[in-house]
Amino acid sequence: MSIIEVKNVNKIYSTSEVKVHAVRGVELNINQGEFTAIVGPSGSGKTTLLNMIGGLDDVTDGNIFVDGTDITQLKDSQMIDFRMKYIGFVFQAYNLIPVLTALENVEFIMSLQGVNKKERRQRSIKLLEAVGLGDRINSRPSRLSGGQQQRVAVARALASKPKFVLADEPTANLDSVSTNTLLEIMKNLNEKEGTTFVFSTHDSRVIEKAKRVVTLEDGKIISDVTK
Amino acid sequence: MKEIILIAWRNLWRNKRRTLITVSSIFFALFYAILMKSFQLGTYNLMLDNTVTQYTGHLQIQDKEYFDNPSVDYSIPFTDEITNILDRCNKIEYYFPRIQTGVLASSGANSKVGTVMGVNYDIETKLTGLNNNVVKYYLDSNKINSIIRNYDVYNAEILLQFSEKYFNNKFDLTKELDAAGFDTTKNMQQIFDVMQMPLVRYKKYGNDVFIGYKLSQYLELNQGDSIILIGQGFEGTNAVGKYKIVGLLNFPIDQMNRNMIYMPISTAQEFLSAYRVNGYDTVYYVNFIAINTKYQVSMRMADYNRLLTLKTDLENKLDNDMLTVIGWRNLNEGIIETIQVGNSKGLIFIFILYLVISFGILGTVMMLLSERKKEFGMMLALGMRRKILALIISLEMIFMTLVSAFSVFIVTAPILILGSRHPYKLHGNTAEQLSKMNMEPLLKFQTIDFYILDQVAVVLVIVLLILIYAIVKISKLNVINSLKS
Ligand SMILES: Nc1ncnc2c1ncn2[C@@H]1O[C@H](COP(=O)(O)OP(=O)(O)O)[C@@H](O)[C@H]1O
Ligand SMILES: [Mg+2]
Repeated sequence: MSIIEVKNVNKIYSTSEVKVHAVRGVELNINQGEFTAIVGPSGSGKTTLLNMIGGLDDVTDGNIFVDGTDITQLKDSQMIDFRMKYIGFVFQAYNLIPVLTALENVEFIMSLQGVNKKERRQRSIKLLEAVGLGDRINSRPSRLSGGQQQRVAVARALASKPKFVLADEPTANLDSVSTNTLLEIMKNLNEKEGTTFVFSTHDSRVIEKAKRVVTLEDGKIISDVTK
Repeated sequence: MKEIILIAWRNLWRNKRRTLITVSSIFFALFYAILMKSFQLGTYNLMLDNTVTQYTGHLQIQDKEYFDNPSVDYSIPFTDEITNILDRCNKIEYYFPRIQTGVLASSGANSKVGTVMGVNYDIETKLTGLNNNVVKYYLDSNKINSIIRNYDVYNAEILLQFSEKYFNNKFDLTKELDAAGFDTTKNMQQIFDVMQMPLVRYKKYGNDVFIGYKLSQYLELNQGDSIILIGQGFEGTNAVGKYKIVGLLNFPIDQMNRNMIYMPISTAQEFLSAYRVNGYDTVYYVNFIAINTKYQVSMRMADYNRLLTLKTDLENKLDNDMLTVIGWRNLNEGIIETIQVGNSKGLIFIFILYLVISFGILGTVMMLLSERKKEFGMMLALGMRRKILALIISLEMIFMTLVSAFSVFIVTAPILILGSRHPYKLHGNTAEQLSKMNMEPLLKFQTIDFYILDQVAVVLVIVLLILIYAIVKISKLNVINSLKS
């Protein structure tokens, strides 16, 4: 069964001068346990598409079903709750609350969900160990490298036990070693834990690691290849 | 919740300078507001209390015509009937009949308009400390020369600073001389003897008078000399009298130094022929009877309204169409106006201060919001509710306000307590200015009360408004735009 169903979605940004048709009639189904890369040149609509799937941005028309719920029908406050419960996010940068340590950052989203303290702590430590940061749990983001910060972000995204993780160009700011490490960690989690990842990139080394590659151009899907 | 408090608390330390600016803005707003208001209230209340309690009384019993036409002819009989009513009223602390009338005071070729105050010296001493205003020491160039000639004083020229000054009983001369750098270890007794005014010995029911020292200077009269008073007596009689000056007076209020002539009320009654003979009885008249009550004198209407109840009550008991009872607000319109003008000036100042400080705080909050825009976007994207975001900002503001309020309390409490217990006596120019405005040159603070806390409330409302601004901003935050910013 598809965890994400994008049905004939369009997105038009209208400013006072121009209208930009950022996403055009996209149809996309993503199943539980997939490891999908959305690729395409800059401006092709990757961020827009992911934002709409994550409920961060409205669709102009069309529908998006997440685990059977049409999220285009949710109100702002319902959407916020929905995101917290079902979707994990990793952004390109600025992922972490700067005044909290790595551990506290991972725990925080669980405390919003009302998970008890003991379970929070155990799960956070386990997640940070899984991303290879067992020894940096008490560091604040400013003391971590960019790659380490992105790994904390992955751990944080998984903390709420989401249905899937959306990552918009998670490696854009990383060097090749960190990029590799992050991708290995994500892939590992996908294979071992069955975590569904949808991430965008225009980096060919990252594309190689994906099991399914959806290519966008001018807001349209021009190819969809599963290896 | 614990996490949220933690985030808010740590956020304070993120940009220490901004936190410090905000905290000190709130601190200064509170500090100035409290100090200003406390000083204003304290000084005004002191001024009011002094004038009302000592000169007009809280209430006055007058002839109906006297208020508009304060002539001797509208005097009232001072009878047992009236004193019985006053004695029986437990809201009244004491009362003092007065004669207060304009006269021409003269000596030789000089003459000047003055005010005769017919008083009971005992009550006056208790009430206004009249005896403390009696001039005790006086220096002029003759006396200074004689000190230099006769005593072994090496820095006697310091005394020149004290020349032509009239020191009343309240004055601590040794301390003042010390402060001026005069050697007070030697010959002080002799120097005091030279400076001292001739010993004042007045008879309680005698006919001797005290006059303001400036009046004495103008008329070139000294203690022991005679002063001639000419005025309009009761029922068309001429009032003329010649009285011995037993003492000079130095009041904190300058106007009084220029025109006051104090005499026993019986002397004033004789001087003005303020009596009527009915057969064997003689009824003596007074201009008015001043009454001091147990109620506090203040600008608050609630206090005054209580007094007005007593006023009506007294009027009913007196049951005399010719008499009326007047409250201090009507008797002191000048002072009330001064206070109100002062208040509104103070209000303008405080308003400008609040405006400046509001923009200061608003600026730091706007900076904070734009700095954290991305972070807010991320938090919202992760599923943090706007309410919680607003709560974090609110907690930050509350922490900063609490820190400010606490420091203000620590700093101002001792100032207010000290300043209210020990009014600070002003010297020099300011003192003279105030004295010319007929105000006592005293700085007094009012301890914290409801009327000071209303300023604190204003500051809190400002903080609250800025907080609401921040919350509105957060509630309008667009996740996508914030993330992209
Ligand atoms: N808020 C916006 N207003 C107007 N146009 C936008 C906005 N966001 C994105 N776009 C436009 O939509 C198109 C797709 O952008 P985006 O989804 O960011 O592409 P990508 O992530 O693949 O680089 C671009 O042409 C971009 O300029
Ligand atoms: Mg993009």
